[in-house]
Amino acid sequence: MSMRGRVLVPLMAIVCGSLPATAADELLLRWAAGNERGVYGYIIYRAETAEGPFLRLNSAVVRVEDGEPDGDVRRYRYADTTVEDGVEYFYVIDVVGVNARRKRLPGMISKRHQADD
Amino acid sequence: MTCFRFPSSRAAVLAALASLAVAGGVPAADGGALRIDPVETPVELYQFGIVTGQFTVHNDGEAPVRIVSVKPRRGRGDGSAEPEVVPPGGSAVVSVRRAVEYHLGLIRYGFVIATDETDRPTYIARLPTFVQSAYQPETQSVDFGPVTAGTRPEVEFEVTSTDVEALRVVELKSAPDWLDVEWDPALDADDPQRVRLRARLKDAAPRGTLFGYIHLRTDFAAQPDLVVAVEGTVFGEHLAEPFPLMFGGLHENTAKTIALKVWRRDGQAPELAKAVSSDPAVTVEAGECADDCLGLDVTLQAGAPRSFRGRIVLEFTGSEETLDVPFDAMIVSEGTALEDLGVLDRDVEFDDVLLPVSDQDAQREDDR
Repeated sequence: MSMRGRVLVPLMAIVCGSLPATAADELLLRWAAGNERGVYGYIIYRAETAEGPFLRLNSAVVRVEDGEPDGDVRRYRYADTTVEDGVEYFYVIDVVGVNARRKRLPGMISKRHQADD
Repeated sequence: MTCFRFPSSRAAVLAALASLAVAGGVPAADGGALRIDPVETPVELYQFGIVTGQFTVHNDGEAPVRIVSVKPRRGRGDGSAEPEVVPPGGSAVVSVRRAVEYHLGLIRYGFVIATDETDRPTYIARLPTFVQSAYQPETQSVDFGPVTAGTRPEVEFEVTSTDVEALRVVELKSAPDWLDVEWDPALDADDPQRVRLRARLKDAAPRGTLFGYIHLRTDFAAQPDLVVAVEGTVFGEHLAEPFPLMFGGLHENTAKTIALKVWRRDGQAPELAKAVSSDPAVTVEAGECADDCLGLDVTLQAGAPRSFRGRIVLEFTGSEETLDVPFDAMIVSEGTALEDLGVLDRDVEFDDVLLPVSDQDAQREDDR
């Protein structure tokens, strides 16, 4: 019998908003997660339509150790530096267990990049 | 949901990268002059790749130490030291390589550093490594289940990679000789990151429990190797239930009996001629069954803690066919808590049942 390994799904919230723009060619993703036992890190994917296909952005996993502890959660950020002006992007995130299993987190982030925001 | 641009994320990224720097050294081990700076940040790579790493080794002793050899504790690989002779108060850089093969997840690979020190001839340097798969599911398997001999059941399965824009399977490197494997070489129009494949048992597939691997090559250069496990059980004129025999977990010095029933396809009750177990701890005696079947009691006398598997080969009067019945068991110490999960479907998410991954896997080492 083949059984899928376990990846605990973190309690996660995508935190969105806006910051003063000084880097016109970047989009910043921020998220927070708790209950990360068994989690190795996160992989971010991007598509240009909500239906995909989504393609992995970060070759190096955003590791749990990269997060900033904040009470019961850790806060993460990832800067997409390959955006083009006027293009709407869609992002999803996988949580990756220490057993290397990936699990898609609920929620999708969309943003149309505008250099003059 | 909206997000925003960030003013100076490069600085933040650089700061984060800086935080990943290798931590400081550890005190010299007992009886040895060398001190190895531990590597804290895992090396990330894809499955079937070759992990490489470097360690800084300090000589805290008063005499030069020659590093005679560097090699992985297990598996294929090698290593070297520069310089090979570490002067007192000096240091050397030890470079290592190791093939990760089938491993997956967070692993600490051990490397043996052999020296000319008489009181401490070897040191172990550990390289934390995160081995990931480019494919989902990460461990692919095809299960034919119980199959009637002579039929050609087919199972469709698919592999996806979200690490590439489009995925193609370009070669079947190997497969069990009882299996045919096919796929459409064209990209999937609906999802170019997905490849659909078909596995079909051949007419001449042997009877009994089958297990093997399909080795495929894809066009994803970072991980061209794609391995799919395949299993099934081919029954001939005899059928058995339960199949296989899973004793599960037992405490040492206890016994467990499973009632095995065997039928013939023609409705006649099989007559047992001989039963041979591959393990002396597992024995077979006559059991009860209805008129049209053969009942056997298969008993495991659990001795010392161990995990094992084997098979019982049944021979029948008037038949040239033998029936191989696999079994497996794990014998644990008396005080070990046992929890019976029952029979799990392969797709069951049992997050609420198993121990957390961190307990099981974070401590994994290649020498376990």
